[in-house]
Amino acid sequence: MSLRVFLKVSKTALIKDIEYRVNYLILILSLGITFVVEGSVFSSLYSTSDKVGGYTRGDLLSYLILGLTLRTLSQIWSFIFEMTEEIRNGKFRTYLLQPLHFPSYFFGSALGPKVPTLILLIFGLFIARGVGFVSALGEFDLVVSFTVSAILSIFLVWQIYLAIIYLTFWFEEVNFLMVAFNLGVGVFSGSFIPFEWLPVYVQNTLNFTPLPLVGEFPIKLGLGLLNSHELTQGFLFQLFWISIFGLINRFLFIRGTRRYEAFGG
Amino acid sequence: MVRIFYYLGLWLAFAKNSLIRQMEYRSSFLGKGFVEIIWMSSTVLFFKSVFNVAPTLVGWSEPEVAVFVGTFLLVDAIYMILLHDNLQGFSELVRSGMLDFYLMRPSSALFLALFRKVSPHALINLGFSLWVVYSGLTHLEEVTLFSSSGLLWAVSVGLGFCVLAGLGTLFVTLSFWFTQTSSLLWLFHEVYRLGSRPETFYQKWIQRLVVSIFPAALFASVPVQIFLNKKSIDWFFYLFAMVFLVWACVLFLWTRGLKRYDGALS
Repeated sequence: MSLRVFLKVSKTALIKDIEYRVNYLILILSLGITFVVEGSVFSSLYSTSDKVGGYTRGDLLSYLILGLTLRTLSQIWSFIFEMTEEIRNGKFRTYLLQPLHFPSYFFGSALGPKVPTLILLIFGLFIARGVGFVSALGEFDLVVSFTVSAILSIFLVWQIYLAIIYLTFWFEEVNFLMVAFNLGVGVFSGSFIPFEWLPVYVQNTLNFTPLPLVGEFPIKLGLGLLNSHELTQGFLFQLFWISIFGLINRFLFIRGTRRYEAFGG
Repeated sequence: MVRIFYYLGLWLAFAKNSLIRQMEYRSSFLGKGFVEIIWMSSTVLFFKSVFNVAPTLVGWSEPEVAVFVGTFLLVDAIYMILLHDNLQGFSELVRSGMLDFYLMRPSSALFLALFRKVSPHALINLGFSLWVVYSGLTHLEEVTLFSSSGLLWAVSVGLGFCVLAGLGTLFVTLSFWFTQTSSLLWLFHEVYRLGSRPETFYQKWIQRLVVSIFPAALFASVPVQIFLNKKSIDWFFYLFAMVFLVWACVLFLWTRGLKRYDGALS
């Protein structure tokens, strides 16, 4: 699917989505409540000390905001269920005939409606920085590298979704895996809470997975807490996991479409 | 009294029916249980991680927070078992006109709309939450579940659930007035999250909000604080009063909503 078609799909999805303006209001409220609920725990840490677990209050609030930004942009709810449903009910066959690439079509449809949220988050970050509320993204090169790592992180999360979605070719019920992933990724990736605060045995286990790369790595990069070695290593690992999932997904897609059967017109 | 037994029997029949229906799709049933385990473990892990770097949180020790988290998960589990699926489908009942079928039956239509579906998979949550409460209490010598304060905790948790159930119903009852109603329950679930932290963690104005206008603190925070002697017994009576107030509003809106409701079925 060409970039032009991809952008067209995103634009169409955005236009369709902004018809439901109330949903955006609730989304803003949701972001606010998440900030209040998580921020309340972090703020209460500083009643006796200025620095806790290696973070000042400003650092931690910045951590929370960047984590919230990443999660909001990378998490997808409705479209992933639509994809499994289309494989299950046979509608998927139309993608095999039309010049539309099944995953790209849905990726575009999922990204388009995120544009207003992205604008809102960037605007919020600018204000928060302007009033000195957050300390993150202080320099231009940090902004650039955070943006690149955030894009890679969104793409990596998408690849993980795809790997789960393609299991629908073999199994009836996979939606629970996506819900579990969406619910767990906040804490387990270190985007809800600094990764190094997790119990050591949990950290050791999660380090074998791509999860820290979709939360901890981009956030710490945005906060300027990584040296050049860690930065290079983080980017390489992001690319490595994207390639691994890309290969797995290609394999699953080819094998899946081979055994796929759809009837009816 | 006879009516209570009648409705209890009815609910048991619903529960049995739901269990049989869900067990037909065993992988889906197990999958839902898996999702709940992930959600609850991440909630517990969040607090465990915070206590890795701080000994207390605004006067709450780790075992006290464990009792709070366990109680919140318990209230949430009861909500999941009894109400979640019903509230989710409520607006559809109104929009499609299926509520007609409930109104024609000899039982209370509100009861049928709220309790017809039961989610047995959330029994996992119930077990897990009780284990979290128990694990917190093993480190607190001054309080125990098997005492008068334990009984008070159980009753206040029940009242907390009644407030939660009332607020949820209040939100979905607005379906009689609005067409785009899926957002209503989403909105409710978002505001509901304010109850997932003890209200003393919040700033003063939010504290006032969660004990009055949207009393999310009454779901678990206030019951636990009464239990741990952090709040006086007066709060127990406040909890009682709020249950009556919230349900009075529900009944008022329900009656007004029914007057406005036009059955869509012929």
